[in-house]
This record gives sequence, C-alpha cells and structure tokens, in this order.
Amino acid sequence: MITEAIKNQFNDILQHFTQTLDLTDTQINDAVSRYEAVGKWLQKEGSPLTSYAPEIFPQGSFLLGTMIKPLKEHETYDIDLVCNLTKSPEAFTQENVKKSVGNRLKDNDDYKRMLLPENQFCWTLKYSDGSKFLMDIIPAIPDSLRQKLYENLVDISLWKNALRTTDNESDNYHSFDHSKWPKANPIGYAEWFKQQIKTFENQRRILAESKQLPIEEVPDWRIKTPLQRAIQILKRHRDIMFEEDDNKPVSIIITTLAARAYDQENNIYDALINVLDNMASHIKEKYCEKHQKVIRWVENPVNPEENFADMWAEYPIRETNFHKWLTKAKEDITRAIQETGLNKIQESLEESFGKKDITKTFATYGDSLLKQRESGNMKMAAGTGLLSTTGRTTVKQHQNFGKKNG
Amino acid sequence: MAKRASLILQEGTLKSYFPGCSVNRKGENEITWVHTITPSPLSGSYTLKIHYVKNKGANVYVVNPKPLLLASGKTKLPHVYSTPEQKLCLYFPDGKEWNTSMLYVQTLIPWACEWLVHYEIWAGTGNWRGGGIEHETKAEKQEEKQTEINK
Repeated sequence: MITEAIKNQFNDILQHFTQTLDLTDTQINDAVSRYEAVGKWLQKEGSPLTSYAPEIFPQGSFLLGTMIKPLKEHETYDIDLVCNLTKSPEAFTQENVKKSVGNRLKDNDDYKRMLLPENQFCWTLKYSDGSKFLMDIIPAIPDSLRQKLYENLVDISLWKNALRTTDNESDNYHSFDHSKWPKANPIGYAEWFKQQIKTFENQRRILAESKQLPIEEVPDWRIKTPLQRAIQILKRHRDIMFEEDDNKPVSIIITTLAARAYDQENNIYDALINVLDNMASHIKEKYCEKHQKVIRWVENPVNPEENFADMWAEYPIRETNFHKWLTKAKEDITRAIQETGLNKIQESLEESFGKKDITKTFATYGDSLLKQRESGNMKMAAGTGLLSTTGRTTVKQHQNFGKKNG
Repeated sequence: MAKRASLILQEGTLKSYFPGCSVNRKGENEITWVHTITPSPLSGSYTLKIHYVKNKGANVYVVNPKPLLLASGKTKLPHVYSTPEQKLCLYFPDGKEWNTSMLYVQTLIPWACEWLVHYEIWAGTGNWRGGGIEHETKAEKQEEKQTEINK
C-alpha cells in the first residue's frame, strides 16, 4: 500500500533527481549574464535600434522553469531570447525587423564572430568557451492586431503581450501586413502557465525569504513547484524512451497538457500520477480547414486557433507515440515506488531515467540523510525503527567505523 | 567512567520501544534482543540482533537477510567488523561515543537503523554516504606488515 510516508520519501528522492536535471548554477549564471549582455548591446542608447525601443527577455522552457540539461554530455543547451521592437515603424517588413536586429549584432565584433549562418526564425550566437551554449535571438514586434484577434477568446493578461515574429522562408517576408506574419506569445503562455499553479507566488515568497532577497529580485524562472518538477521528469523520460526519434512527443504538448491536468498536488509523485492519468483527457477534437476533417487538437491556451498537435494529422505515428509514452511513463513510475529497498528503487528508476543521473540522485539523497542526522533532525520511531523527523528518540551523533566501501 | 546501565533497565526500555520483541536476559551477565525493523518507508525489513556479554561489550548483527546483497563489484559490506557475521561498526570505540551506561534504544538501535538505510544506498550506488571513519581489520593490518617485510 502506498502510504503518505512512502510518497513523501519518494518525493524527496524525486527532488534530488530533478536537481540532477537542472542546469548547474554556473550554467545558469553564465546564461543570465550572457543574455543580459546581449540585451544591453541591443538596447544601448544611440544604437540604430534605440528608436525602436527594444525589449529583451528569455522565453521557452528557461522562462517556465522546466528546462533540463541535455541528455548527452556533448550536446548543446540553448536559451531563447526575444528582441521585441516595441516601436518599430509601421512600414517595417519582416525582413526589416529581422535584419535590423542582425545588423546591430554584427556591429559588435564579438557577436559578429559568434554569429552562426542566419536561421529561418532567429539569429544564433555560439559561445565558444567549451560550454556548448547557444543563444537564439528572435526578432519580434508587438502584434498590432492582438486586441481584435484575442479579446473575445482569452483574458487580457494573456493577450496583451502577443507578438509577431519573422520567417525568412515565408511568402510574406517582404510584407508589412502584420496579419500575415507568424504569431507568437511567449509571455502570454508563461503567464497562463503560472496561473495553473496556485502556489506560484507563495513559492516566490518562500524562495525570497530563504535567499534573503526582496521578492522583486526573484525572477519567475527560479521558482520550482511540483508541476515544474514533474514536467522536468516527464521530459527526461521522453528523452530516454525516444532519443533522437523525430516522432517523439514534443515538449510544448507535454507542458501544456500537464499544466491543464495539474490539480495543485504538493508532492511530485502525486503530480506525476495525476498528470499522467489526466493529460489525454485534455486533448480535444476540432474540424480543421487545412486537413478538411476533424483532427486532434492540443489548443494553445493563449491562441485557441493554434494547434500544438497539428503535426499529428500528418504523422499519425506521433499520436500513437504520445499515448505509448503516457502508458510507459506511468508504468515506470508506479513500478519504482512499489519496490522494496532503496537499492531496488534505484535499479527500477535507472531503467527509465538513466544510470548516471539516478546514481547521483541516490548519492545526494544519502548525503542529505547524513546532514539530517548531523543537524539533530533524525529521529527513530518506536516499534518499526522508522527514521524520520519525528520519533521517540533522536539519532545521536556517532561515527561509523570500518572500511567505507567494502 | 559512567555507571553501567543495568540489564533490567535495558530489557525494560527494549520492551517498551519494541512491544513483541524477543529479549533474553541472564541476570546482569548477558542479554540478547532480536527484532525486525523497517528503517525508512521505502526500505526493506531487517532483523537486528544485539548480544551483550558482561565485560565483553555489545555486538549488533543483521541476522536477516543473510547474506545481505552486496553492491556491484564489491566483495565486502561497508562499516562492519565482519562481513560473514554481518556484525556492524556503529561507533568509534573510544568509550566516549558509546559505553555500557547508554541505553541501546537511544544509541545502538537508532544507529543500526541508520546504517541500514545507508547500506541500501551503498548497495545501489557502490558508495557509502553515511559518514564515519575507516579502520583496517586485523587481517588487513597483517597483510600490510607482510608486504613491508617482503619488500
């Protein structure tokens, strides 16, 4: 039987696991100082972009707090940065927007050197210090049509930051008719995501207190709630199950459905099981003009016309894979918690999440137990001998003696 | 030097903490306690035995499972006086960390439970994270001496 005590211990272990999935503090600090530097350059007084009043902000999984380090050591990790030209001229075409940002980057000798060949949607800087870090800079403008398009569909908090971006392979690349530019709304999506987590602001307060910072200095992306931790775990499970397969479940679908299914669980294990049980029920069906039939629909919560599962109609294997993945993820997690003995649980989790990260997880979990006892917080219960923060007697300080590793 | 706790007191506290446990006391000369515990919610169950003989000290054993599973690639258990006997090393034997004035229920038994949780982590990772000091067994000391002599 899965008791609260079992779930709580499993939750502790899963917390340690997600910490192995996080970028290191160094990687995060590097990413932040780098995008702040790029932002500073793009926004510098007197630069060609100044009159367009650029706004710079990160987007994607970094902003949502769901980013995980790459599966393989040699892989790169990317941060997406949006460069929003809030006061660009009305006559600007997609090309004007794209090029003005690109040109400003090239004005800087370092960035010019680091720029990769122009991408369809963005400019990419490659940082060559061996850190395998790429920064994608996405030029954008505010969507001048956003009120009309969205005010009857979603709340203003979700549409007010809607953007248009550029696509240099589109027929409309030379058009200044915004209605023909690609739509994007990373801030709106992040806002929606936060709204799915009732304890989000409370978590910010707790983090601020623990780091002795004012609340305003704790950015959204530092906050980690059980939903975010669950999504990190689910993404890693997907990575291991599908590796490089093009038809693997995509992160935006996992993230959106998980956030819809989340029911304020406090415990990562509960969040995982509930989300895995209920994600599929949030997949809708809608008639699609393009395909001339009813297809599966994973609605973009800030743009109901956008279907994240758009590709499923063209590649039905992707829908099959999604459901296969849901089933296996649930099986794997349920099996692990039902094992007896931490070593057996470790073995079970290694199969689905990889030996290296899971071994590290249990090692750091062991460290935390030692710390708990050393700080006088480990107690033993009568009867079962169960160790926890409550119990009849405190485990006194002592030193195990004898050969460490056998 | 603190006064030795009477075995009557040890028996009393053992029975109070672990109703239904097996305690066998021979006056003030010898006591044996056996009981099955589960050191953490996700852990297995282990049968511990404490055997104290007057002037010979108290020994703590894991009697079940026997043998305890070893970590991959290892041939011995960590922090034990003897792997075949599964006799646990729970404290630095300087008389200060533990002596006969202390109650088993407040010292040896909680330490044994803690040892078991770290044992499970060691069995999976090959790494002991429970702290402590290394010591050589008599046999290892002899081996080293022999190597020195043979140089």
